[in-house]
Amino acid sequence: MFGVTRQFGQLVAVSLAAILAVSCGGKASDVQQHAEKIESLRATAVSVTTAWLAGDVSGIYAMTALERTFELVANERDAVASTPENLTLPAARDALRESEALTRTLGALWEAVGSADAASARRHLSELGPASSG
Amino acid sequence: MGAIVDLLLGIVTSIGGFVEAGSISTAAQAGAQFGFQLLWAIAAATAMLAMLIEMSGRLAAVSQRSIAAAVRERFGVKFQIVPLTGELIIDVLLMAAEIGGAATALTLLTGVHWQWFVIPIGAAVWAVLWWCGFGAIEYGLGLLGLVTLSFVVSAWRLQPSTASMAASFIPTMPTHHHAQYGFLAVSILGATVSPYLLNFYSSGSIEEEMTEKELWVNRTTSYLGMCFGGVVSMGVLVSSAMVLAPKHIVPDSFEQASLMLVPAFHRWAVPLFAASLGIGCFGAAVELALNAGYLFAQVFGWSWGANRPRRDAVRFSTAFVLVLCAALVVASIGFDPLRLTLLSVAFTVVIMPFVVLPFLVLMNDPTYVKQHVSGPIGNGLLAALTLLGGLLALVVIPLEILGG
Repeated sequence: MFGVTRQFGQLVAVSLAAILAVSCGGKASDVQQHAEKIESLRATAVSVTTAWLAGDVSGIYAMTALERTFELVANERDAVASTPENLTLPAARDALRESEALTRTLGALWEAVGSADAASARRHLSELGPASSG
Repeated sequence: MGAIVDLLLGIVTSIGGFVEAGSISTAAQAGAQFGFQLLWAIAAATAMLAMLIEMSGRLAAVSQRSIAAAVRERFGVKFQIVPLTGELIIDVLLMAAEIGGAATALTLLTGVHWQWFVIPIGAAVWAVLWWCGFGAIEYGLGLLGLVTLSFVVSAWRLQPSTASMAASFIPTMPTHHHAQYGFLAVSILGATVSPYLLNFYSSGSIEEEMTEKELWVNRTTSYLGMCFGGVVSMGVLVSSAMVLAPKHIVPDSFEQASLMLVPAFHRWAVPLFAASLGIGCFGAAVELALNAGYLFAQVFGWSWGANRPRRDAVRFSTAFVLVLCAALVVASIGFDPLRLTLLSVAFTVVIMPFVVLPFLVLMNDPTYVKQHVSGPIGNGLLAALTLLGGLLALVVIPLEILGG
């Protein structure tokens, strides 16, 4: 238990340092966070579509999850493009490109699931790559 | 025989009532981002909750007072304004998050946007509160909540490494995302040790007419029930760590989190996740609303009790209805249920010292608990963890908000 208490103390110290880091110009780390979220959403789209193709989830669920993923990608894209300063960073431009491509594919997947078109879903799924990028 | 039945029912319903929006979302995020590394946080928070719940029942059984009533009597109404206000604000936020969670569960099954379900769920919460007694609420919802054991079954089927899990019960610092790690540790603490649970449990003990002779039932139910409940939360974390983490999915929505059950249950995964989320959140919303009624009535000295006819406790009934309405307004605004949950449970830790510390004073006052006062080690640990948790929450919440 005393180890847990000491651990909390360390966490407070590290978090204080992290607050300083964030407030001292963490634009690059912000963009990195958005890029990670976009990657997580890409993997979600792959997992949802794969599960639908395998018959593990219903079309209703797959469409709901893809639509929600679409909304979250749009939020991330807006956040990346929220300031001109962000767009001067190459990583931000990459994240923006990736999010735009992802929203297009999500739209196509949503349509394919809605019309129960497994062949089209497989085709668009291949554009997204594997669920894990390692 | 009656005490044994009470004991078994208490343990079983503690398991069924343990998991709700807060524990599912924090454990799912923790597992997806840090693997098993935050299992220690669930274990520590569960141990803390079990100790506090046992104390709440002991106070109620010995003094025949709930925590809120005893604090008012010992420290006065003025002293109680700060914890009461803080607890009510958190209750409203948490209730809105739970209603949003239950609504999202229905969305997973129907595809209809979750905001369409907010008012019908609020009406259902009201109906349960209006027509059901305490036993039906506590045992009925607790038994239905046993569906959450599907997370434990999922974790078991995924065959995680027991050595890795065992090692995770010793806290270690992560190699990345230190602030997020701190925020999740705080959120797990807040999701597990919600202050409302303490007053709800002590009020429930009075509703069930628990006496000093039944302290052993209280002790056994608290420790076994909460520990088994903690295992359900760990099931969520382990399933998330085994399924979502390798795919680099960090659940920002319950739709994403539901994928964790797919490898174990295939076509039953989403219905089981939705049932677990829906029943857990609905049960928590009912308990939060009822506790708001308890709080108002006990602080201001009104008659109260879920087992009383509503016309005999009009102000108590009005209080829980008004708080429920406030939560429905917040839920209807359309905040994302998962984000609202994460922030609400983190804020819970900020007000925890204001609720827990006066309670610890009561537990050392023989006027209230006679010879059953708490030991110095338990008191010291609870006080230290509560203060450290509150301090850590004050640091990591701004960081989380600033960092998006």
